[in-house]
Amino acid sequence: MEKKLEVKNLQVSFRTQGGIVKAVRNISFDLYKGETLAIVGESGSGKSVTSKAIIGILAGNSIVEGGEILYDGQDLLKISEDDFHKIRGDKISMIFQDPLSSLNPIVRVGHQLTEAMILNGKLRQKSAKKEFNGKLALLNKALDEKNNDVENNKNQCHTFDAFCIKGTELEQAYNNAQEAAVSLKTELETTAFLISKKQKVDYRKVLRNLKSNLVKTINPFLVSDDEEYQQIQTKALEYFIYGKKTNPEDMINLLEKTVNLINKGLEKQKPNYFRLGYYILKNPEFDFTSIPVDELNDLTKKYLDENYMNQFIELGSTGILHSHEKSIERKQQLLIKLNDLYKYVSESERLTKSILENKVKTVSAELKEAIDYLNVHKRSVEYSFGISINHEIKRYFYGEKTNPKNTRKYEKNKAKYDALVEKGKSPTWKVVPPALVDLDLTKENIAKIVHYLIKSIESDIKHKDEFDAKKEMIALVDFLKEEASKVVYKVTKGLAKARALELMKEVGIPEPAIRFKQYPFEFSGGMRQRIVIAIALSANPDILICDEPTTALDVTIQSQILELINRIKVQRNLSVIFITHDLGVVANMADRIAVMYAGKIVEYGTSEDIFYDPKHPYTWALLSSMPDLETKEKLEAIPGTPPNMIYPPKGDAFADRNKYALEIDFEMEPPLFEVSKTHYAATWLLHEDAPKVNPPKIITERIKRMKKEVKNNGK
Amino acid sequence: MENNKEVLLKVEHLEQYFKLGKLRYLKAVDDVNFELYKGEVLGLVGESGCGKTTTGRSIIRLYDITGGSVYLDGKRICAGIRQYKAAVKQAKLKYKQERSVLQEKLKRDLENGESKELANKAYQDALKEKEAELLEVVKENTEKIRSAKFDHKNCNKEFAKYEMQKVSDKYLPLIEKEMDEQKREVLQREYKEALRFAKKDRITNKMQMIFQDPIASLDPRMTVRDIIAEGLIIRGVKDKKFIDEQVYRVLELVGLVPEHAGRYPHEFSGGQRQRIGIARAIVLNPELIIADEPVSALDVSIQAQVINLLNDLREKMGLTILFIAHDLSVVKYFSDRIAVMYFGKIVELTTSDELFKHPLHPYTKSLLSAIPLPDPVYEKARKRITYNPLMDHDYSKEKPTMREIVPGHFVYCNSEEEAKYLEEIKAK
Repeated sequence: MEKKLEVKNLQVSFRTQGGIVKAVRNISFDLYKGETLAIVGESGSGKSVTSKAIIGILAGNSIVEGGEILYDGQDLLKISEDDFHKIRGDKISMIFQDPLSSLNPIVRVGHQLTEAMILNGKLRQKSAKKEFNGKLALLNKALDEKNNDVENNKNQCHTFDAFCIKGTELEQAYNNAQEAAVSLKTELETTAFLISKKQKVDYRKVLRNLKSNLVKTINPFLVSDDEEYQQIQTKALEYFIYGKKTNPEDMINLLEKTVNLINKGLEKQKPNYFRLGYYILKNPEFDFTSIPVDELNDLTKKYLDENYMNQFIELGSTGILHSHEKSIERKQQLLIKLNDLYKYVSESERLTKSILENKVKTVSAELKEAIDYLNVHKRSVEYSFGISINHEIKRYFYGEKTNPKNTRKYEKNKAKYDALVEKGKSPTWKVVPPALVDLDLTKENIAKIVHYLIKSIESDIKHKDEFDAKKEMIALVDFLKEEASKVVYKVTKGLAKARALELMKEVGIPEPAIRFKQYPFEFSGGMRQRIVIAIALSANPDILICDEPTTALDVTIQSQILELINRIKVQRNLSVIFITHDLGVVANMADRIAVMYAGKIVEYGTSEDIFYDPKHPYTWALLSSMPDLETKEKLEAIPGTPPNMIYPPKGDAFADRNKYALEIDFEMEPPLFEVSKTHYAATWLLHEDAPKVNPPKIITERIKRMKKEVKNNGK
Repeated sequence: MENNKEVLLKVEHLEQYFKLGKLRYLKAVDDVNFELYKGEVLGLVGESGCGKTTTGRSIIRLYDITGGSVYLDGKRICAGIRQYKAAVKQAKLKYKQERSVLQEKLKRDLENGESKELANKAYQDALKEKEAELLEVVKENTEKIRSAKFDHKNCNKEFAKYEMQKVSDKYLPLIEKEMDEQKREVLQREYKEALRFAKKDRITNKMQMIFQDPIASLDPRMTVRDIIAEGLIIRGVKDKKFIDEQVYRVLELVGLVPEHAGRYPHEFSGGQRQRIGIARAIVLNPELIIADEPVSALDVSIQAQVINLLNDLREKMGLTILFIAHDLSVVKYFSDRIAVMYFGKIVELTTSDELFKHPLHPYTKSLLSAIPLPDPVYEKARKRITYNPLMDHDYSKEKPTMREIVPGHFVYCNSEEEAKYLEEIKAK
């Protein structure tokens, strides 16, 4: 599966009056395409901080002490705010916990829904154009180097460009017409219903709407400009002149007729525009409405494959193979220098500025040339290497910007404090150091960044024989097709409104046309949450982060919204990060689950692993503290409260509240033990020498019961 | 339910309407009936906006109810007058209709050629009869309205009077018997103190409420001691030592330490805040507690702590609890009986085991199908049943009422559905 997001060794702290709170301590996880990762834990365990770090909205007093969040060739922790604008909301979107505070109270809901769509539409068009042209030019260049037949290569690429854009343009016209048809249809149906119920309806308004919108639905594969269509238009005009005097039955008749016409159009099959584009490019005079869609598809497919596509893929794959080989060759050379750099960073006690900067400069310059840009999947480690390492180096040598006033104040207070301690008193106030850089930690971070790159390159070299150029070429063509559709896709105000209305209907808001014009305070809690979800989905994101989206809602609405998120996830192949403290909700949603406690991941596995075979005492405690429908005995509540993260405990953070705690738990932090290939848990109980402990009775019985039920249902 | 149990709270035809502009009403609670037996926990579930909280608040008199009455320990504490007014209105309407019928009859008689005097007399007689009927209804209902208003306003005073009577009954003979001057004086002083205390007693002190949001329901400018002692002070206790004792006792009961009494609410975590709310509710030794979503705003682990605490308190103090919540697994765990509410009406009321075993009303079924459970395989196969009142019921022929399908299992349905439900239960 394709990795969408990688979080590596993330560490986030907050500067507060009481001291530095370590909110997230060294967590790592991957997110794959089309899966749901659930993060579970108590409040204050760092779930929300992690998600906020991913979307780049950490509070002002936060310090990112280390780690990387890699997405699409970028390190989200290090890119500038301007770059983040292109990602936030568009690529990564978030549903917030509290709908009231995430909506603007003085802006109408409709405006808030369409705002991002229009803004992002323009941006996306620009960037897609750049991507499309850039990739094609690269391919062309690679082909030039490989085959010396310059003229032919150029021609081939040029042709692809031309017909791809042509096809998508046609498709876009079809899509627009279809969208107009669907929205017109629903509108007419509701008006007909209202008229039949003898409600007041402004006929002239309806007719004007009908006349102007019906024109938009004309398309060769949808509604054609035939006799029936003309009839409707003339009748509409006639009634329009009559105005209010029109008979309601006639009106309903007309509306139903129009709906029928549109329905007939919508039933028609959609042709494959990509192939059609090529056919039309070659035979501009061809009338494609004359033959049925099935035949047209076959014809265009055959034509495209025989005349162009097979050749192009053959040719392209040679270019890709060439570019790949070249990149591997360069990477092999680079590896020596990288190892040298790694050795220097990890072995020398204090780094020297000039040596390090020189080394990094040469390495990153060579890396830039070694990257295989034709590969569709951007390997984030390679792309973000330069920025990440420079960021850390800057921190190492220049430190974070600190106010000299604060530093002086700190020194003064520290002296006072020390004097008091020397006298044998224990002062109640504390001294908070201003943000000073921990040199060892930063050095470690630099070493880690280099290490990741080395590992990635080594694995590349190892797997170089498995490279399938043809497959890559097909992926590239798909990528180009997608980008071309983005280039052509234009978001207008009307279109944005139509899509917003559709989205509102999709998330289950009745009467979207009226609701569109309302302010957030006019909605109830559940409805408000739905609006927030609609806004999050409006930009068609890659990754959706849900931060306790259903905690404030009741059961029926909760399950509706969970179903909605699940459905949209499948439809759009989204990756979802789902944050919650309710394990019942997680069971429905998650493919994989990470249990967090005190800023660390304590258990990590697929949902079956966590629910049927939990290993960490904290997971046991979470599971046993919620009643299910069969529970009769006393609940096992977790005693105490989470530890104060200003002074993180020395050993296992959960040891104080854990009745299964071993002695070593108070002294040493447990590493992540592997239970199975997908299942990890950080507890000393999994160590070879640990005594055998069984989970609480509630859980074992529940699991037994669940397994039995599964068996029964299976039969 | 067994009949030998003592009824603590009885809610009859409770109606709570809110005004929405002129002549429009929001029927938040519409004709709710239930009884609460001593020592039991009744869970009230439903989606948000169905009137659960309004019911709770109406019972504890945070709202003045529109119609119906609530009895605590056999005494009426809330009374609405809408139903009586409606009865009067209906009677008047009926009278008007009957009058017009009579008038027409008179006209017809005159046309048929009867003598004017005779016909007129017959008409007058009939009319008088009807008028008398109307007057009787009006009189009866005005009396009821008056008594309802009186009960609603004066139930606390009456109760205080009753308590004072009890005190005087106890002390006066003693004082008369006592011969020693000094002892007599002491007794007199005691009597006065007890009388003052009884004068401030209220029947509504027997009910207390735990609120949903622990942050919003605690005054940030009062210490925990002030918050808990407030009820005692209003109740008329002046002895500071006694107040402190009570506060410490209650704090220990809810699992906090006496040292916490001097702190302010913001210094506590969410679970502890909810404990303070509970402590405030139980300090007056109430018999009935209305818990309005006490665990909805809390974390899972703290939820379990609070539920365990409520369970312990219930055993120790013999509390009766009206538990309002939307988390069905918690309600199932905690309650003896469950009432399901939908749009201001109770649609199903039965014991919790029975409800989960044989859900009858389609809304209950849909609610049960929405519960998430910590079991991935079950969850992936779970199908939510949707409830659409227009599709699921046909009430055009017969209006539904609350009916007992099997003993102790009430469902809101009409006779056609009743037969269907009965078959459903038998089939299982």
